[in-house]
Amino acid sequence: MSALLAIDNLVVTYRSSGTLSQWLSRQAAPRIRAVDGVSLQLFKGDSFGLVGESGCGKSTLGRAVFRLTPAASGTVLFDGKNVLTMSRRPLLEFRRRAQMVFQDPFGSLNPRLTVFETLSEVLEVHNVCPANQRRDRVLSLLQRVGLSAALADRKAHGLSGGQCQRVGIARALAVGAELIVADEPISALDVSIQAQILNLLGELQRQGDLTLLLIAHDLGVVRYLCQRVAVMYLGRIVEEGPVERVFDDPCHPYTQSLIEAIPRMSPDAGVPGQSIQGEPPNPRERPEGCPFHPRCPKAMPECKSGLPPSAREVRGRRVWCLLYPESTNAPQSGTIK
Amino acid sequence: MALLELKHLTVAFGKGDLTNPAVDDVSFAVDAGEVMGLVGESGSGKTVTCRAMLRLMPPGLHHRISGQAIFDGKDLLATSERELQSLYGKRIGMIFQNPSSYLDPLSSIGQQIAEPLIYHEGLSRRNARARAIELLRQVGIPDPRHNVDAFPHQFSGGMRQRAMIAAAVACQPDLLIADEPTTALDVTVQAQILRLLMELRDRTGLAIVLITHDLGVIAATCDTVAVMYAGRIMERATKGELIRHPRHPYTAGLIRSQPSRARKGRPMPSIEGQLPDVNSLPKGCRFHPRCAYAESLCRTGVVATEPAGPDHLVACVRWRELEFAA
Amino acid sequence: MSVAGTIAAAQQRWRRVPVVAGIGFAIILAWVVAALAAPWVAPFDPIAQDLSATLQPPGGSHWLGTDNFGRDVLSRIIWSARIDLQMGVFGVLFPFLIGTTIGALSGYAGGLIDTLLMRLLDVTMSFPFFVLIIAIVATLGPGLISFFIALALVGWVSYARLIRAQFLVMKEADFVLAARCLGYGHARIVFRHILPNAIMPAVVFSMSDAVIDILLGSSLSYLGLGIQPPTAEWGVMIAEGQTFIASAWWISFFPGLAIICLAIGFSMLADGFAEHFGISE
Repeated sequence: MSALLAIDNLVVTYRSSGTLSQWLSRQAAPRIRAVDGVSLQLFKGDSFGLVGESGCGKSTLGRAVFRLTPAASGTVLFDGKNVLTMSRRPLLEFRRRAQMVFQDPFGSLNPRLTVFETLSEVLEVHNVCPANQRRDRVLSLLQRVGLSAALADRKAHGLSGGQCQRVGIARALAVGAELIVADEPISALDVSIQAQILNLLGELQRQGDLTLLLIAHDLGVVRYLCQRVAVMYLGRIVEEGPVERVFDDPCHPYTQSLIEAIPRMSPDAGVPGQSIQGEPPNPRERPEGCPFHPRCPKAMPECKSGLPPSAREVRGRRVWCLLYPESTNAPQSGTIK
Repeated sequence: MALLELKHLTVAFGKGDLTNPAVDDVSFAVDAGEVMGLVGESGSGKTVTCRAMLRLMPPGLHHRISGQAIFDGKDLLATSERELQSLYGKRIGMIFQNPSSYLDPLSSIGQQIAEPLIYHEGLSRRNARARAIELLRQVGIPDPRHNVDAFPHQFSGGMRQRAMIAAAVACQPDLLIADEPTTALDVTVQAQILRLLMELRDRTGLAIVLITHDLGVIAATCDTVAVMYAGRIMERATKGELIRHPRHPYTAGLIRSQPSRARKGRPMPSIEGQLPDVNSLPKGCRFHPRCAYAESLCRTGVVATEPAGPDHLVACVRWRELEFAA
Repeated sequence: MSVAGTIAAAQQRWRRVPVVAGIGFAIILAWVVAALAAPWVAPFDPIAQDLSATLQPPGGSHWLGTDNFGRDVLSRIIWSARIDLQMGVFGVLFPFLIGTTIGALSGYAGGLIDTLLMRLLDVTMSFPFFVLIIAIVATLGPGLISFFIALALVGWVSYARLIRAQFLVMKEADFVLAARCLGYGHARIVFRHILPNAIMPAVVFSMSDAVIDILLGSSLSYLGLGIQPPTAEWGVMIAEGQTFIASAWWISFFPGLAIICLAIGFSMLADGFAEHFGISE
């Protein structure tokens, strides 16, 4: 069985404006690598989580998959064809089968259009159904995401955050997407509403055989909804595997600090432990060697130079860390099932 | 005597309805050295409560405040402006969610930390600067001698928050009001900031009112917790008691809907419905439209706050009958 | 949005907007009605001379007096409203359309197109505004059409800047990204998604621009480069009355008052609009 979505060595850079002295001395302004060679695979029906803190590149990765941000190199194969080099027709086809749900529920809807107009525009542009069936189709979409038909004539500002997000999901379903990339879909919502949206995503996934790539910073959410997870740091994946293994038995020091830092909601909880110093890094200042070494409590001399570590297979998941021995046949891309 | 005591604080907007004010009858007390968490979602009124108590409501917003906010024996709502000015920064410090909006982009970090020292404690510029460097070191900002002259835009989010904390505690206040101090920060940075706040409390006996929507943060740091919903306090207890034995359906719902408690493959428990519109608050218990246990009495009637145990108050008509598993 | 923010927004929306904008709108409406109904409202023919009643002060059958040719000042003012209103409306319309097109193209396409168009903008802006208008009108010959052409060539700049700025921001908005994600074509994205959301600042600006255009048109007429006598126009009337300022002040005074009145009307409308849209987000 081949992967529905296969990202191979994707690199996304952006040019920063260089300093005056750089310009005067005719040095090229540095290109900042937001995504530094990421490979992963999603199979049909998977729910895959991508976690990391700010600056790790997870959102940029999501956008690059949809060509909302240009990629510098690498491939993104959707059902075998490279999205990044697709021409107009196949690209439109791709955009029917894969959709994105955005973080800001209000911002992701055109403030001037009603819910009905937003959804029927999708149906119209993609010719999903004949014009006289559009109204019914919109109403059934609303029902599917748990919105009452009465909301169809409202605009974004007349809806709550949770309702807006449901419309965003309905929009993705309207076009018939098989793959949904959700970029922090619940971070902007209230706690009691987050659970509702998570349940909606979970249910849609189970019912509709949807493939879900969930980009989030909240590990608890990823743990609940996803089967597999990849942890990103400074544009690279540092650990990837089944979600229980990665979270219950983290191998990479960064994953360990992340898990440690989560406040536990138990009656005798104390302040979360802190083995890690410093701030999430600035992609402009990428260290040599392993990107995590400046903050790593277990850094060794060999971590500080050379190429970033390659993937090692350890206890049923892959880790990119020199602490673990190189396995001779660890797949560098692909997936651990 | 409690350091800070709110008594029946009520805030009504506009010509409104004093019968159904936005923030209704909020009371709680904070002792010296205690960390009290005020938890609620948007529209819960937690920020309005704190702003009203400190008389920092946005100007131009018609509102009426009644009740008392007694700080060390003085009612903040009844003192003169001049007295308030002498309290803020000196005995009451404040930090907010988004440090970028609250730090002056045109002044150096050192100047902003030194300012309360010069204003309230009369330190000379040189001494204030030296104290600022020391404070930067205490809050964990690297290379304080150099960074004291840096500007806010040169700092990352976590560092800006630390700088704001330094400015807030510069004059060693007795009380710190922290309004969502870590909401905008990454989880590893959040852990650092929470640790810093706890260290400050341990070292100086600072009392903290921590406003947040994150139950995990509450569990990690607070001694007592007050849960707010739609402008009213639903439950108030010590942290352990609240998490082990919540008595109010909303509290129980909040705890249950944490992703960490969810079982995979099954729908997460969630609270039905929407947060109420502040312009049309429900009568009776404000949570009843979303409550699975609502009865006729909940929809009409005044809901009194009753003690459910030592140090445990709950505002629910049916608390005696309801039992929520931890 | 925070609780306080929602309430503040609701309170302010209903308190300030109608008053200012309402008054402004009423003033403009009054002038429009007067202008349209001129044949029935004006007591005299604006260019009819009555040499037996020259330089009459206000009062009697000539409510605002007569000028040195015996023409009724009031009637001339009413008829002139037609021209000055046109100056305000059409003087704004063409720069608005041209500027919006250029700004949208520039902001959306970016890259080389943006650079070229912005350089064009810089060049146009580097000439003093009034001097350029006067030069163009003088070259094309005085009159309303020349005035509109001149404005179209020069006045688009502010609109282009406003629209471009909005486009640059909105291009990155989530709902635009969502539209791209859905495979919508550029035309649809620009006209259906970005433009309706980007146009407000330009619309608000156009109202205060109308004021400037009315004043500019009147000034040109005053200088002899706009409307030519004997047609009635407020600027022309002021010019003609200049010689009689000491003896027959009303010839210049009332047209001046009319200009101020209409200008204030547009200004207040602009103010009300700006506040309303500044707050409603």
